[in-house]
Amino acid sequence: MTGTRSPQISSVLKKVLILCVGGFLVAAPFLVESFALFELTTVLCYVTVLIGMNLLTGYGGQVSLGHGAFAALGAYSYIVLITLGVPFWPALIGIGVICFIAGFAFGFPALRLSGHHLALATFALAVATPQFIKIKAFEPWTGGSNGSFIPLPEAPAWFAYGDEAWFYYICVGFTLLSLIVAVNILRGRSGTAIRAIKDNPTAAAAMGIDVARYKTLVFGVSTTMAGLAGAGMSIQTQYVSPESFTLVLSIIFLVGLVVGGIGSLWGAVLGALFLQYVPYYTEQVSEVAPAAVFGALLLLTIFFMPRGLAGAAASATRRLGRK
Amino acid sequence: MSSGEGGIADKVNNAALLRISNLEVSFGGIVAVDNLSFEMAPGEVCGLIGANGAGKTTIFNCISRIYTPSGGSITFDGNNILDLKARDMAGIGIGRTFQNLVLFPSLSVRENIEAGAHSVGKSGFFADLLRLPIASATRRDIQERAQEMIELLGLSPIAEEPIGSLTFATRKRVELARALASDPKLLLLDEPAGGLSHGEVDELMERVREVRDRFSLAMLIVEHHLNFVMRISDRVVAVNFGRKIADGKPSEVSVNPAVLEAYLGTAA
Repeated sequence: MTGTRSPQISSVLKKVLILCVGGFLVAAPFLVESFALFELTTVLCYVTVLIGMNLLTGYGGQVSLGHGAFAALGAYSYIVLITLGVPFWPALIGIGVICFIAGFAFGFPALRLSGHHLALATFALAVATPQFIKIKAFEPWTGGSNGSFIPLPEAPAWFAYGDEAWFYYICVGFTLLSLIVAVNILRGRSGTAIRAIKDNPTAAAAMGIDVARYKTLVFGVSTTMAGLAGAGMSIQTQYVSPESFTLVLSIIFLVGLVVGGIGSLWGAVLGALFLQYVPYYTEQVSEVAPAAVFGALLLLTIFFMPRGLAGAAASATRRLGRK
Repeated sequence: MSSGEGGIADKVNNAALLRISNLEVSFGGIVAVDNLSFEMAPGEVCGLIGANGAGKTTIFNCISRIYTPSGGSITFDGNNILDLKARDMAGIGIGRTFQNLVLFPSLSVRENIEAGAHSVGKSGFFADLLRLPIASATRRDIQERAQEMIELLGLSPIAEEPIGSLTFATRKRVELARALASDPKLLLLDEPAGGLSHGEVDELMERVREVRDRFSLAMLIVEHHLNFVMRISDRVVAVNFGRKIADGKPSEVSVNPAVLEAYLGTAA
């Protein structure tokens, strides 16, 4: 077989890539300006959401058009907890717990729905969320339609590089944590179960797999990641409003998932980079119609890389290894 | 499992592994299974024959709890399985294959078989998520079990291939390996010879015998391929329009007038 060399080359390539990305992530606050660091923090939040959506949709086969709603839940849970005087770290854990329970609970009605119907149900969630936040009774916490300011958590005294860099490292932390959680789930017995359920729930049940349990738990894990990312995005912009979490955000997440590559954790990284930086370049191509350029680019990507950027990259390295 | 080859012949009632009593299934007024009873001893190979629509697969789906019968009872190894769910069957020792091959297409051969070994493992979702020691231990157990099945059924050369690239006969072997991976006491085979060529049927027969001798496993086989059923079974149960019309040794059933009439359409 000519391919005997390729696994080695791609695994070496992977290690080099991980080292480079890791090194860059650690050094970034010293290398780039504050605005670029802001962008990078956003990328990390996108990565976290997309890892969760990849678990849910890419591996688990449950389509969600409503992860923006769970991002909102994360952001507003943070505000409420902080207003109640909960310190930063416990508040972060609180967000995780709240979003897990919410996603897990939503997972139960979702069990009765599949494919398009589940997409529609989550869509409804995304549509309702901004209006729900505007409800008068919640205004003391949410700030209603005017939104609400959020303080950046203060860096501890021993950290000398400022609050922004501190928060950036926190985002690096929860992104890595999400990645580790996803890898752990996928490599174990649960990962095989989740993927088997996606292919055929009846056969999966005949293998002794508890379909409902895995589906709801994966839903919970993915919404936890969405919630953390939602909180992360609002904390770093230091402001949140209902308009931050419209339906468009949920769709943007889905775009990132598909463009990055469904069923690949690398795809989450590539999809996040696409979401953050491509709109910026399309604006340079055409100032009048950046959305049209973005749309065209999206079509081209789906047409020529049906398995997303990650899929295209994988087949490229395979070709490289064979030479 | 305690049964040896000697246990096949004697049908002591209390020793029955599977006992189906007065099973009734109807779909919107159409009676698919009508007051059907039979038993299987541990380690026994039982053929279930009947024309299309006779209710064979329906009986299977009741045993694996995909359907809930409208009457009667099914006990297996001391469990009343009507109290249990489809996902519990692998755990108590009932494995199955499907009539129309239901493999997991996005998983490799090895991963399919690992999915079959799901009930062998104990680690829960959160143990996996946190990579607790039990998660790694379970992963090792499952991998070992899958590897054993891969070797047993001669799947080593294609273990890493996706299902889509395999021939029909090979897929059937993968499905058998997947069903065996859960370490069942009773294996339900739904038309194992369906769609196979002559040579492939003979090979399958060898495999099934090998598997049965090795694990001293009871098998219930739904099959149209009469020659296959008669050669492999210790006992044959014939059904027609959901009713049992014969139950006995293959040599007896194959000359039973009711069977000949129903199955071959010839008045004896």
